[in-house]
Parts: sequence; C-alpha cells; structure tokens
Amino acid sequence: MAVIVPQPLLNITDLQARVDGHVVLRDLNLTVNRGEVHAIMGPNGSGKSTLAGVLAGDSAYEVVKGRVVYHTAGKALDLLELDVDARARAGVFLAFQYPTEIAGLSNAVFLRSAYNAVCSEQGRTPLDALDFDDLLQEKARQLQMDKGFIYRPLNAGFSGGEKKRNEVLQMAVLAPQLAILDEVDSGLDIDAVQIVAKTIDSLRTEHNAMVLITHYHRILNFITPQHVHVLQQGRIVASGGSDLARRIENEGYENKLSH
Amino acid sequence: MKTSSVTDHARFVARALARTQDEPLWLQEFRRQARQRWQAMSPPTLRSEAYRYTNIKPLLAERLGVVTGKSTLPPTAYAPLLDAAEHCCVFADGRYVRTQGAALPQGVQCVRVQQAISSGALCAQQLQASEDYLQLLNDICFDDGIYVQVAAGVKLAQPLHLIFVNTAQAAGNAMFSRNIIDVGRGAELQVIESHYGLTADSYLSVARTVINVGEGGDCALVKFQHEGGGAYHFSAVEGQQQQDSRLSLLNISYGGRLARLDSSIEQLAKGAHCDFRTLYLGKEQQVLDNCAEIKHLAVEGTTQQRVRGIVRDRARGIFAGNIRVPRQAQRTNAEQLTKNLLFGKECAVYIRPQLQIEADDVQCSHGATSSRMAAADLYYLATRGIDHRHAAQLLCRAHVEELAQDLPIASAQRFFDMVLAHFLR
Repeated sequence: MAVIVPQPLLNITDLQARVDGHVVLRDLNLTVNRGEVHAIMGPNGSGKSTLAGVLAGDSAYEVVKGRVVYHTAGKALDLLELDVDARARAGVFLAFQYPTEIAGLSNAVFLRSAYNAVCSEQGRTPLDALDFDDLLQEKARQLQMDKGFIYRPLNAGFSGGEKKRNEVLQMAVLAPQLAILDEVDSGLDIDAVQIVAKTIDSLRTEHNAMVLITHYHRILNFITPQHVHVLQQGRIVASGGSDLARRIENEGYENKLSH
Repeated sequence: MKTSSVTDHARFVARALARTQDEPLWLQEFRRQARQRWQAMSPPTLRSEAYRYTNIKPLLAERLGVVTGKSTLPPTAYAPLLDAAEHCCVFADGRYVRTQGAALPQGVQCVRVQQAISSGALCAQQLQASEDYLQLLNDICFDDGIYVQVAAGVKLAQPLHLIFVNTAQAAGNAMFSRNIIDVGRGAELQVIESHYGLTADSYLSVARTVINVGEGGDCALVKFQHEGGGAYHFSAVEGQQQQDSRLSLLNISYGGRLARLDSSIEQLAKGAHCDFRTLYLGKEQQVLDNCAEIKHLAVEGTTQQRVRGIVRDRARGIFAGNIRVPRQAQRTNAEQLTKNLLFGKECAVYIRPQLQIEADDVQCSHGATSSRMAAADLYYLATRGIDHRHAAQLLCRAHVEELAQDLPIASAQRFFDMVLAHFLR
C-alpha cells in the first residue's frame, strides 16, 4: 500500500499579530499541506480576517512574533518578509470579504496585468491581450459566468454575489498554490453560496491548498474540508475533521469551546 | 544675472513688429492696436483673478529672442506623434516646414495663415483680437499657422494634423502660431494640434486657434501639449458654434514647465452641442493651468464638460471652468465634472468650477473631486501580484478612462497611451 507523504505548503508557528495596538492573533499554529482544504471558523472578532490579512500582507496588521514559512518551487520562503505583491506572485491568493471597486479599470485589463505578473515571476510566458482574452473567456465559460462580466469595470456596480464570483474567477485565472478565502459566502443567498462553493471546489487540485474562512457551515456542504479549526480570541482552540463544522452548526461556538 | 524683463519683452515686440512691414495695412493696424493694448496692460500677477494660481514671474524674467535661420527637422524627430492616415502640416520653431501624409479631398482649403492673409481669404474680424496679456503678444507677433476652410457639406474621413515642433533652436526664443478653422454648413472636420518640444531649455510658445462651426457642422479638435521640460506654453482655443452644430474638444496637457490653456466657446444659435474634455498630467515642478468658459447664448444648447487631472511630485494642476447660461439660453443642458488624483503630499490641485445661470428652464450640474490614490485599491492590486508602479499606472488609466471612451477622434487614443506610459515611468 502506497503511503502518501504530506507535502507542506504553509507552516504558521507561534504567530502573534495586533491591530491598533490590540493583540488579535495569539500564538497561532497551523500547518497546511498541498491538496488540503482547511476551514477556519469562529465567532465575530475571533481573528479570522486578521489571519487572512496577515498572510496576504495587509499593513493594517502588525506581526509581533512568530513565523510563517511558505514552501514553493523547492524553497522555504519567510512569507512575512515578502511584500504583498511578491507573496501573490509566489502563489498566495486572498479572496476578499469586501472586494474593492475600481471604476474605469476593466476586469480583463486588470486580470491580464495580474496574470502576466504571476507568469513573469514563475518563468512562464506572459500572454498578449488576444491570447489572454481566450483564456479568460474559457475560464468564465467553465465557471458558467456571462462573458460580458469580464469586460465590466472591476467590481464597480457588481452585486454582492457578482463580486464574490469575480473573486473566484480571479482565483481560477491566477491558479494560486495557496488560496485564502475570507468569508466568500457572506452576504450570499443559498443559491449563490452553492454556485460559488461548487466553483471553488472545482479548483481543488493535489498541488494547491485552500484556507476557507467562514462563519457558517452551509458553504461546507459543497466544499468538504479535510480539517476544521475553531478560532477563539486569536487562538485555535479546537481542530478536527469536517464533522466538527457540523457540530458547531448544531451546538454553537460557546458550547463547543466549553468542552 | 537676469532681472525683470518686461522692458526686454517690449524690445522683443518691437523687433517682431519690424518684420511685419510688408503685411497688408489692415493687419499692420490690427497689430498696432494690439501693441497699444498690451503696452497699457500690466502683466498678470497672482492678484489677477485669471492668474490666481499661475505665477508668470519666471517667464517675465526671461530674455526672449526670435528664431533666426532655418530649423532642421527630420520627420523621425516627431515620428511618435504621427499616424500615416493623417494629413500633416509640420512647423519647426514656429515656422512651416512641410506637409506630409494623406491628401486632402476637394472642398478643403488648407493654407498657411500668411498666404490666406495675402490672398484676402482672411480679414481682421476672423483673427479676433485678444484681451489676454500673453495672447496679445500672439496678436502682435504671430507670423505662421494654418487657415483651414471646409466647404459646406464636405466631410473629411481622416484627421488633419497640425504639428508644432520646437527644436534646440527654440531655446531662449519665443514662437507664436495662429490657426483659423472654418467648418462650413453641414461639414465635418477632425483636427489634431500637437505641440512637441525636443529641447529641455527654456522657450515660450504662444498658440491660438479660432474655430467657427457652421450650422449643422461637426468639428473635433484634439490639442496635445507635450512641450519640452523648460517651456512656457500659452495656448488659447476660441470656438463659435452655429445652430445644431457640434464641437468636440479634447485637451491633453502634459509637457512644459508652465503651461496654460484658455478655452472659450460660444454657442451662438439654437441646439449647439459642445463635448469638452481636458486631461492634465503634472509631475516634478510643472504648473498646468486650464481655464474654460462656455457661453450658452441661445436656446437648447448642451455641454458636457469632463476634466481629469493627475499630479505628482511638486506639480500644480489648475482648472477654472465656467459655464454661463444667460436668460435667453432656455432649455440648456450642461454638466461639468472635474476629478483629480494626487500622488504624494507636495503636489496640489486648485479647482474652481462655476455655473452662472440666469435662465430658469435649464438642467445644469457641476461637481469636483480631488483625492489621493486609494491605499485600498493599491493593496487590492498588490494582492494579485501587481507591483506598485504598475498598479499606479492602472489606477491612473482607470482615472482617465472615461475621457478616453468614444473619442471624437479615434486615433487620439495613442496620445493617452503615450502620456500615461511616460507619466509614471
């Protein structure tokens, strides 16, 4: 019987971070291997979005101590030492809870810039406008998105569901190794959650990994994580398999944490 | 050491006038009267309302001369401006050098302004005397430019491009150009007027373009200002519109040390439409001043005025726009929107949007914003792998994108690309 050796993609060790002088993450430890989906759940203010922001490099958060090692291309990178754009080019992707709207910048132009930036870093050939258009239309078709969507200004005038789907489209195009999905299900009705979740699930491979931050179990009906973690006051206080998410849904965080 | 040289300017004017003795008497009289008004006038200062944010003292301290001898200008020198489909009239250091490109169709007269004066095609009234200190210098000193007349019903398929290049010979000198454009009834014309500097030395370029659009006519003018880094550029556009005519202006102000554009449009008859767009991109210590006055003098006129500015370093961007709607201009529809983007803490924009409305049955609006580049936007782009410089370029492009849509002259897109690529290098 073949033994599958886990290939680590991300190691977070004793991570402590603060915002506006308040400590939000406390001695957080987490290992994410390739091919895995980790769901991070927790009540409001538990530090879920802070974790996402710290991993992406948001300057609003100050890392006080700890280490984040990101394994890519045979190298172990100190993620916290990299600029935001360098992290993205190295394959780290953050799907925003509240994506920014930029009127005047078309999705297609923006995404080609991003795609070519990532390609250049990873030694792949950048695409010209026509070739990239083909790629983008193909991705939109796979995600069952109207192709008119890709020529609209970036998130400007998009509904909540469209913004989230656009984040997923970007993820599909950029094909990151590590995707951090910050409440991609928030503000969506159940049909939209299903569409977004199934799309995300279709992007899972044995080479990439996802950290799925969510309040609710419902998105996990469509994406089955290998690991579920409960974050409370900046610490992971419980970890388990996908059944943990169901128990939280039934019993609530307080009940879960009291065990 | 240089001293304040208003008197030097007077000597310069006297020299320029000496060159005009062979001109028709009416033109000599036109210039004499302009000189009288200019001499009676004090140079504008920061206390002058129209120059409140534009200090011309450094210009007044310059000792200016006139270009002597013939300038050398190979076509390769201004190749970035060219489009093969255009009919181009090229000027070097204020003097005509050549025509190149596509031929003009029948019904279009395009001659040097001096030739039009000699032949009697132009009169004093068409030259339109100025009241501005710098433009009066143009009245006194202009000695070249283009006169374009498009006969009724004639429609040009390709733009006419007037290219004014200032070479190394322009350094220390002043150049004055005058263009007069008559678009006949139901005629259509697209004109690009480029001012391009090949020297970083100091010089003065004063340009004036007068446009008359006949009934039902359609004229588009793109002014592209990319003077050299030491240039003082003062430009004026004066437009008059007849019934149901359309006038589209796109001003792109990019070069020069101090550049000012005064636009003045008069809608003289019912149903005229003006599409007015301005883009200024200032860096280092540039001062880019843009003044525009649009007068609705008849009923059912429309104006859409859109201005976008981006400044960085210690640059100053200025926009003073005034749309006047007197009592007789009922059912006017006019909107004015100015948006500015600032990079850094030492640059600034000064905006004076104005509507003067006396008519009571109108739809008019105006708005003005200025903001720094949003950190959230830059962060979002960075999380997609886009570095700061490229992200800033994308956001600049986004800021001006509305101006670049549905351009009155489609090929003018290349000027947007050119300046945006250079601006954040």
